[in-house]
Amino acid sequence: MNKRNIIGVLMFLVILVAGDRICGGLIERLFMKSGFRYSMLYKGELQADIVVLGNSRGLHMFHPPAIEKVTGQDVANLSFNALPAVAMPVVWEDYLEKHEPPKLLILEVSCAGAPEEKGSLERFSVLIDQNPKYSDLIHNKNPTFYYAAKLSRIFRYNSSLMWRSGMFLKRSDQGWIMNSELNEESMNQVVNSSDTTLLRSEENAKALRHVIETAEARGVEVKLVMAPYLPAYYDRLPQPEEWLKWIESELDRPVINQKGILTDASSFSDHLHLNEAGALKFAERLQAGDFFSTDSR
Amino acid sequence: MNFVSFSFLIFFVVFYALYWRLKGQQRILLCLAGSYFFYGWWNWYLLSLILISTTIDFLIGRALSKTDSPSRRRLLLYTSIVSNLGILGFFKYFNFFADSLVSLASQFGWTLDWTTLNIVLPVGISFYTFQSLSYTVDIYRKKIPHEPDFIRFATFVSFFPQLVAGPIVRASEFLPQLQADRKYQWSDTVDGFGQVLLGFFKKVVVADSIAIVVDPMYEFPAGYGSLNILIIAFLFSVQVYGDFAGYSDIAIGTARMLGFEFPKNFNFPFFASSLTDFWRRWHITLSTWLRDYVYIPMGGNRGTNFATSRNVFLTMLIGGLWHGAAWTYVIWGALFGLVLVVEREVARKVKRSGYQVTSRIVRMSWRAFSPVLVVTFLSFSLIIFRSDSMSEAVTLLRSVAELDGLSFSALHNRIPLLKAMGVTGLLAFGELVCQFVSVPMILAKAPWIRPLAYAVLLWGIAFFGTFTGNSFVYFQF
Repeated sequence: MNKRNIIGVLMFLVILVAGDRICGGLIERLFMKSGFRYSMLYKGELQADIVVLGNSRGLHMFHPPAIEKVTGQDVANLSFNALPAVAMPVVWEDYLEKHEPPKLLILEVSCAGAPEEKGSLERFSVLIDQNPKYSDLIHNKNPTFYYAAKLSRIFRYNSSLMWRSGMFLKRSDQGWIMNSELNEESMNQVVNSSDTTLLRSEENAKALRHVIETAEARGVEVKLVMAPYLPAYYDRLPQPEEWLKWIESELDRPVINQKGILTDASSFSDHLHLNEAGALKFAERLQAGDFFSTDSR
Repeated sequence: MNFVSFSFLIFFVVFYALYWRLKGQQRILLCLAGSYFFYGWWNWYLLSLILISTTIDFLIGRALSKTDSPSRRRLLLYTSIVSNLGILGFFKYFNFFADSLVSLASQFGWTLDWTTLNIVLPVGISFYTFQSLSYTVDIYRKKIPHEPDFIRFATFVSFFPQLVAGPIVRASEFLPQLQADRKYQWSDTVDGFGQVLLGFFKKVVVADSIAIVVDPMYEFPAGYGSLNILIIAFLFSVQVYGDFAGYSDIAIGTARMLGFEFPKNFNFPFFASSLTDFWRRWHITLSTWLRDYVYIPMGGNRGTNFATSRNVFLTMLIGGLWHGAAWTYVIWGALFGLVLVVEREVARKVKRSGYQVTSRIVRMSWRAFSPVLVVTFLSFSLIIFRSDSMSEAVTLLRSVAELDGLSFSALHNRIPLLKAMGVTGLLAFGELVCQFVSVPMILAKAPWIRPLAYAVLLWGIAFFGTFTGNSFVYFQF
């Protein structure tokens, strides 16, 4: 290798590293400008009376515009598709750090029984710069990914969270919900599905317990809920009542099972999630049962 | 070992460092050992198949070189063909033919008690079998001399960059390169590295991002509207291109870094002006192999018009079957064969009529529009190719015919779809630019662009890449 080639290689490395840092910084700014829930969380722009935490079921069952409409209270939903339960304590603590404690925290507990989707935790690499605790979680889960994210700042933003933030650059994503109705084929799929699992993960239960204890220590009332499933799917779940007893004993608190509150298939966009109309109907029924009042205990 | 893996990165760094330290026979031995290690990473037992193919063709090649007797030469050639295709047929097609025979018999009310065997399909068997077979055929045709060194011949058959998914490199192209000690050249390393990066980009940014959208439809086709199916069919054609052209780029670039020149395997196929032109640009090493070892021996275009059409059709049928042991591939090949025959016939009739388009605008418009027709046909045909069975393909094609529009329920997560379309646009833009601009010329005029271009590719891979660890589509062939 002659001197000219060495200079060429060095030039390439300088461009590569400098560009990675500069582009990574620009992408981070774009992410933080967004109306995406986690961008708003770290900007301290999600102050609310009611906060919801869960995975995609928490996201679709407790639709902020619907709850705001029936209660007149401000609602922030911190749930996200396939949000792993182990990441919830970090999300919740960061919320408390950036905002005043809400009056009510609704925790959708079925996330503790959901199998972890591949790569669901790694997506949170976009938040490494906001809270190093995400680094620790990712490191424990996937060391190779962790080192790659440390090496390249751009790579940290290669995440579905980043793409979603890009879709909500000029508006909040708190109103986002899947807005479709179950069709016949999907119903058949549900009836014949073998994908029926409720895991008993000690690690997930421990994470939820931590969220509850942190909330209660700050004077936040916590309501634990198992949101409705499509009845045809619920019937296929392996002993859901037993699982509920297990999670109640793990969390040492009662869980409200919302089974049966909504039974019509037209309220669901699939077997796990409500659609917009269903979410409004759900909020109305909860309000009728005085669910959202904080002095109900 | 998958190119897109951490283990391959470590393997190649060690291999590269050792390769340029060794010389002569030691270097060839390293290539062979490295190639066997690369293949054995999947399955050590199946290495024995490569060794059997290699030994048979090496011995037959040597025997062919020692005799001028036409009958003995023919016997040796047939031995090579039967043994190579026998191994390929058993491992790849036995169950397919057995199943087909049982179901055919059942149509006549006969019950055949013939169970299929639990056969593992050796990765890359179709590629190395064709490569090895071409060696004996070329010696038979007296196009090349036999290779006296077994180690060198074994390296030609199993060289790791192209072992599992091509390009199919002929003995006449590769063996002379193995005979001479490759001299280290900085330009080979730099050019090869660039092509490897481009290959990674096509694979992890384009193909794997699109796979996330395409795969669910073929797992559960019900619920997709006709427009969804059309969009996904088009995206699958881009996915296959990104996947296979990406693999070829990595293979060619890796070989280049080791000082070897491999033939081009893709030449912007989505810009083809006709389906005939498409096959001159897509998987070029397979198309030319089929031309030289199937189409021409059948008579090529030397006979009557009917004979030529028959030869085109049969060659495409064999090409379809080469892709896999399933009726979907056979029908796909037949469909392409049929359309190529029709296209050829139309072109012949137009030529004979003496009709010529004089307007430059019409000519240019047709040139711009014809690739759209080619890609549309390709996308439709790939619905059959990608389906797990003919009944699934028929269901999907029937859904397309119903013209029931776009079903958003099947696309509730639109981000992967938007990303897939975005990377398709990026690829299309890049390839369109290459139609008007000569990249080597630009790099020669402004060398500072090269490090910037490589950095941009790496940033693109880091930001847009989908690292799901998907293997390459063509590994299954």
